[in-house]
Amino acid sequence: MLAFSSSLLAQDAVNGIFLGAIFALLGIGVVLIYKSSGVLNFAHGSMAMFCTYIYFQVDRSFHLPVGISMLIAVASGVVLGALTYLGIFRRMRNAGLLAKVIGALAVAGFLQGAAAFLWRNATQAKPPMQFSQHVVHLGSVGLDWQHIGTILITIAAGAGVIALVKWTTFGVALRATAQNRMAAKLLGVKEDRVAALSWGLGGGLAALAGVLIIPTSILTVYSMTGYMVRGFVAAVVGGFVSLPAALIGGFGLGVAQESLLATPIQSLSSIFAGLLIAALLLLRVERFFALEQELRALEELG
Amino acid sequence: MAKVMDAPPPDVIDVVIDEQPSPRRDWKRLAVPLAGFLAAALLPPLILDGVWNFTLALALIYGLMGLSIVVVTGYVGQLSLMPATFVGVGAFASAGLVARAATPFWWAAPLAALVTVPVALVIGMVALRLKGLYLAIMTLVFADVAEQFLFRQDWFTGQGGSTPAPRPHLFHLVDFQSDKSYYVLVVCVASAFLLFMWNFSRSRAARACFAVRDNENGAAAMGINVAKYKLMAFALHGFIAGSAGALYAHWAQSVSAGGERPAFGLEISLAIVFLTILGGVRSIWGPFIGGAIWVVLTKRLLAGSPNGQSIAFSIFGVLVLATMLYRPSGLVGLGRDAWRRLRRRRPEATG
Repeated sequence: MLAFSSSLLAQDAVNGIFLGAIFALLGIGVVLIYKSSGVLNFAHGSMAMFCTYIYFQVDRSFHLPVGISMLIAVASGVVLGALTYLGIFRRMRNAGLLAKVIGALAVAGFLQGAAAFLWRNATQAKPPMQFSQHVVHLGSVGLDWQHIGTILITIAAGAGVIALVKWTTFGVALRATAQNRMAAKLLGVKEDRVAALSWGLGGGLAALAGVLIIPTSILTVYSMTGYMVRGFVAAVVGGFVSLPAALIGGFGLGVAQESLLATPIQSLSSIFAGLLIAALLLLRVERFFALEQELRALEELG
Repeated sequence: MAKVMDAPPPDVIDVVIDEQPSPRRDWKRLAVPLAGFLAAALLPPLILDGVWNFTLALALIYGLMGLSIVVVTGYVGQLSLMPATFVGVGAFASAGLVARAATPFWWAAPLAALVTVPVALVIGMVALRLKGLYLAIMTLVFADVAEQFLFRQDWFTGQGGSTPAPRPHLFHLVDFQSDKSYYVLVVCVASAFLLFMWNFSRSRAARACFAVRDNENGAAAMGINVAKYKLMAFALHGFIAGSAGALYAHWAQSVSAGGERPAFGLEISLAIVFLTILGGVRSIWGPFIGGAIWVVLTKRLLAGSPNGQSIAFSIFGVLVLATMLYRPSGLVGLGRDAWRRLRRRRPEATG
């Protein structure tokens, strides 16, 4: 085991920002979906995986520029998310929490099976990167453009979604639904439209996360599951309500998890997310980020 | 507020009343399903060849794993997404005791089930603090931690991450080496658990559990010790899953974790939850129906396909969604509907 090294630590921390961006993208989507419909989307990772396969397939069969393949994948994520709500969870609006969780798990199982069936011959699926792998050096740390691009896209997407929820009519309707569903309904909020839009946004963000992270490793049916669990951790930081907290939580988790790799207790890195989520849940961190009213309303929703 | 205005659809009320086991221990009403179960379980070894015995033993073991979900989700309303982890703990404990401590199977298997109980109680204690969604995530994360850490430790899984688990024999008189005889052993254990659960579901404790599930605050106001029943449910969850794990280890004759498809990973946990929901999560017979469908689908019908398990997952995903949307009590509920319709058509047939 290597001795503690500060340059190694800095490099790992910077890699952590990249991973954290993925967790944050997934976490924001999970929060949006939960706020709008009370469903904790256990199919989030599967949706990301499915759209990444679409990206892979479009790229392989049509040889389009990667930007266009990426747009197609994100658009398919939007459609997949909206359809999942309209087809399934709209009918479960009044169902209990348990039913919604199991419904989401069933969607996840279905998508995984469908992907394994559709792309059964693509054993070595390696979708292309969007940015060059040219490494930029900043002092002792190096970062390639894929990492930089991912981090920038995440910050832009996160800021965009937060602005959307803060300043647009859709955002007001979404927050109103999350805080008091009955009053929002009485004031004319079309909750199905709001929820379908949120699911679409969440699906698009999931697709974005998958498309950005998978090219750095390899695409299999299960490759997004671990990221999804960490995306949940990011969402937990904000109690499934606060979008900025999910963004911060994602980046924080990524940096913390990767920094551990440079320390003597690196074997614990894989279980770090588990211990962190236990601590976060038991300390109930969400009270620092979410209004009491929002939390209570969501508890009722579930 | 929201709950008052959104009255549950009549179907749900019907289901709740219909599916609460009556508190009376009416042995006559047990006779029909138990005889059906035993007939379904004991006829195959007489008719079919050894491969089917091997497969059906696994179906019963999956049924037992599902039964552990019935206790915790069906009876107390807590979602556990880590049954496969407890199965893994039971499997490695039993195999380890037999292979490394030379314990006879008859001691090792119950001990392994008991070892699983404290592990499950840890989750149970978490469940006292966290509700609903948070608990579901916590179990998911703990399952991940067990998979990444516990099931990769050599002291736990044996050298190289796998332990042999020989089939047992009884005083050298009865040998359970063959698939057929081991299948009979599994049937006996499953029947014992079914009898226990049938009896339990009609007890005072079970009615307290149902109250906690249906309205936790209301149950607490009625003087029910909510914490006690939640912990009890998790202990039972661990015990049953651990027993199923011990049976699984000696069925497979060797246990190993890891690989591309971890034997005790999230995917298996999901399969266990799915098959329980499909069969009927509030009925002790449900998981055995679901388990039989799952195992026959994955091990026989789709066994030739390299990703048969994924296709089975897809099929189960659709079936579970349909169950949740149209008949939350699963196949057992459908069966009950059919039985009631038959009785309505012929009013003279009573009893």
